Amino acid sequence: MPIFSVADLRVAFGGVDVVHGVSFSVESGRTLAIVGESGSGKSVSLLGATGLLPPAASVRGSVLHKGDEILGLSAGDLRRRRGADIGFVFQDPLSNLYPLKTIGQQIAEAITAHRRVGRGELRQRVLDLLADVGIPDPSARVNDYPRQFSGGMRQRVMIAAAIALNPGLIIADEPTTALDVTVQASILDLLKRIQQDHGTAMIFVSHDLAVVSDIADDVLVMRAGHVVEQAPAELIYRAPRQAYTRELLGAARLGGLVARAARSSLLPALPSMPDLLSVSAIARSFAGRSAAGGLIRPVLTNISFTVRENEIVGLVGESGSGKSTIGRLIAGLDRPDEGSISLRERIYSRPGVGGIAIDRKLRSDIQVIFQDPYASLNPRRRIRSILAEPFIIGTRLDAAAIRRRVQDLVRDVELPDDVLDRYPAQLSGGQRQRVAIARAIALEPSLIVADEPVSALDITTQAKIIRLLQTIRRQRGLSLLFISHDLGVVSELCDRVIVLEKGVIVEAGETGRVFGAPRHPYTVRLIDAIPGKVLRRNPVPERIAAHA
Amino acid sequence: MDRLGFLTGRAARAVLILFGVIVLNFVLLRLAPGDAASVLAGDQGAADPAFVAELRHDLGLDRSVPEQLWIYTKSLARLDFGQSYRDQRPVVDIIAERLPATLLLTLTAFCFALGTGIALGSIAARHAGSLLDTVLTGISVMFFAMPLFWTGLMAILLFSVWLNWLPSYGMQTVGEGGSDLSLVGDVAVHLILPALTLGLFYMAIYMRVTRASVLDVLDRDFVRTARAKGLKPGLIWRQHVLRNALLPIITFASLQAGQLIGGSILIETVFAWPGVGRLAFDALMQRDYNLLLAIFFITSTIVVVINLAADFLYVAADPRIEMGA
Repeated sequence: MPIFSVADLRVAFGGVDVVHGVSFSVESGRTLAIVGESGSGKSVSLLGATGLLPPAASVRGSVLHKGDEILGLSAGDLRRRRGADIGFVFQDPLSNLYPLKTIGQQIAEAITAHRRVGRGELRQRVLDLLADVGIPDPSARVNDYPRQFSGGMRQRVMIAAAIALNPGLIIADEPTTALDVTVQASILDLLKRIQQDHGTAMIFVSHDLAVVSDIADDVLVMRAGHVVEQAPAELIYRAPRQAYTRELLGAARLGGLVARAARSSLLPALPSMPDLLSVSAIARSFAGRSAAGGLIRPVLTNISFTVRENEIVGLVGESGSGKSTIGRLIAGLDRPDEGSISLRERIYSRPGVGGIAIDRKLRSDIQVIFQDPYASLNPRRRIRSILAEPFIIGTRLDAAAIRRRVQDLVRDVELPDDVLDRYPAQLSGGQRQRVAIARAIALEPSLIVADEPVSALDITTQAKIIRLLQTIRRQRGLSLLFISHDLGVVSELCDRVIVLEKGVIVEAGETGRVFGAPRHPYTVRLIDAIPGKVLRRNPVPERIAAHA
Repeated sequence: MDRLGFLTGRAARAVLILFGVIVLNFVLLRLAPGDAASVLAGDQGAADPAFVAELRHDLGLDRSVPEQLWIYTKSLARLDFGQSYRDQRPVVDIIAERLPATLLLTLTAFCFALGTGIALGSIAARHAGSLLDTVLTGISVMFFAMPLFWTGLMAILLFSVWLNWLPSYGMQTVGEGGSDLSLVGDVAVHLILPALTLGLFYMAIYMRVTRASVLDVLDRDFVRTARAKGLKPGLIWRQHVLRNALLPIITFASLQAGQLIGGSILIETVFAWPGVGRLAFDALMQRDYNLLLAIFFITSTIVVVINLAADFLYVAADPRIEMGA
């Protein structure tokens, strides 16, 4: 009998249906993956079923937990099930952990909400839980605050709180999104291990079919509040019946990493272009924040590389590897402690105090696209004014000419004209990132530094943005330094790859070569952590091939 | 920087600000046309240059400006503010007589404003969008929009003139002796109207800040996580929502402290409350500069100390604060 089953679930906000009759169920010891783009209703369905939506939402249908109908249960009865019988792990562990309490208090709170436990025993259980989720030296970390942990460690804390009372069901809502690929792999392993140890049922929500491929027993594909396809995982991956599922699979780059990289190197070889950007022997360190104080933490050591005209270079590494610092240095937002950076053989950044005096020409020659399109556009300005700004600052065009240029820009990034009069909040994430790209290319730069430009986007949107970046490179002949922790994206887009580990370049080369025959163990580890390894290793089994 | 370093830095900054206040006061003194010697000599009707020079020497006005500033600072450190021109008594004695009344009035008003403001703001946020929210918000806007003296006059009209429930002026009933207990009761009755008038204005501000702050926190992911863990609503409310929402209120309250003292000048004048605010008003009318400057200095010190206390409170309330930012 399923431990949790949902039948004909409908969720509406202010009379507008967002989930139109969804049904699914999960049994103990099994994992159900719910996959879809943002706005497909996957999170809303689960939050609605467990009473976590705001009172304004109306939820109808039937939700059975351990055979009892829980929809329409009193708030108190629902509360007693949440935490004790249903554990939750949410996407962003920093915003989901409470900033004013230590992680020990937050895990203890999950226990004392439902059980009366003595102080000593409580502390011991918290320490055991921390050890169980792989926090090294729990007794030293138990009194630390969430901000003192890395993203992956925070997610482990969230998981510890979720499994504190050994619930029969874990609901994990995009638990690895926004984490590095290696950290993502370790969190997935942890969830899988916990599930196997305790025979827990799990519902795993994600926008990426590749992420769930290693963990799911069954897959439910959702789109716009409807179920598109529901089947055992093997059938979804080997023989998808719906076109939309195939589209998601295509975007997920399942197993095809090396093949694609090879294909991109088969593109007509670039005529040997002159160097555009040259980074020579730069180093950068920051003052440490440790209690000892005054500690100097080196972030970059002896970094040298070049970007040629009309070339896309990928810069990959985990968080903390220093890749964003390189981006900031190249964009002229920071100065190196050693070395220099030059554009077309003109040195513009070298050690010194204060900001860099970059002339206007150089400023418009190097542009930046940031990761979060929600935070990097001014929410109070219309798209029209956001896009007009570079022209007002950097050119002497009159108002009519600027208006024409802005309209051309919007078409270049394949947005409809009517976005011009909207505000950023009225656009989707992908549309916002297109606006950020339009702003970056407005003054026809020779180099764009793109710092994780697709990491905050759905997998299907990522694919579209990457196609757009390829088109823009072809049409405008600009160069791109593409900073990412996602090797899949890099393999698809970049001509060359630079792999960064703890501030040192460990490997660099043509994309096809680096992914096809990596030389450094760190590169091997990064490639190995790309989700979908189970499918990569096992070619299509015959029984499935026959089914297809 | 660690937390202790942060607090030491803040304390050092407070001392620096106080010194700035002293310099500013000193400059204000010297900006007045002529100096004390010519004023005093003129008062005595003898504009004899030799006499003026002697007077100047007695008063130390013939020394260099930095030296005078140093002497002025030293006397301030001894709480020696000089004599009042009008009363011929040490200024510090006059202020000492009046300060308790002002502290009683402003602290009562402050506690009332903070307590009811946070309570009503929380209620409004919990019922955001309902009729109750609209009514509470309306009331707060009304008190915020009404000038203090107007609210005071209307309160006198309603509670003293028409209903005759409460006294409208002073701190005690004239000629009332009696025991200590009846004296306390008498002062309390006199306190109600001025404290309420002053408090209502600031309550409106705290209520609006609390409402916005609580609504913001209620929307955060960690509140949903707390619910997902199955915590009891009361616990979520106290420990997760309110504690977080209070942080901006601490900042706000410390910034308001100076205005509260400014507001007390108006209220003390309207209600004839014998405090420092009223004293400042009188000193201003009578050009009693020594008294006025001493009041400036003491109120500035109080505001600086309150802001310093807010910094300490902030560190206690929010473990994230440790950087010098």
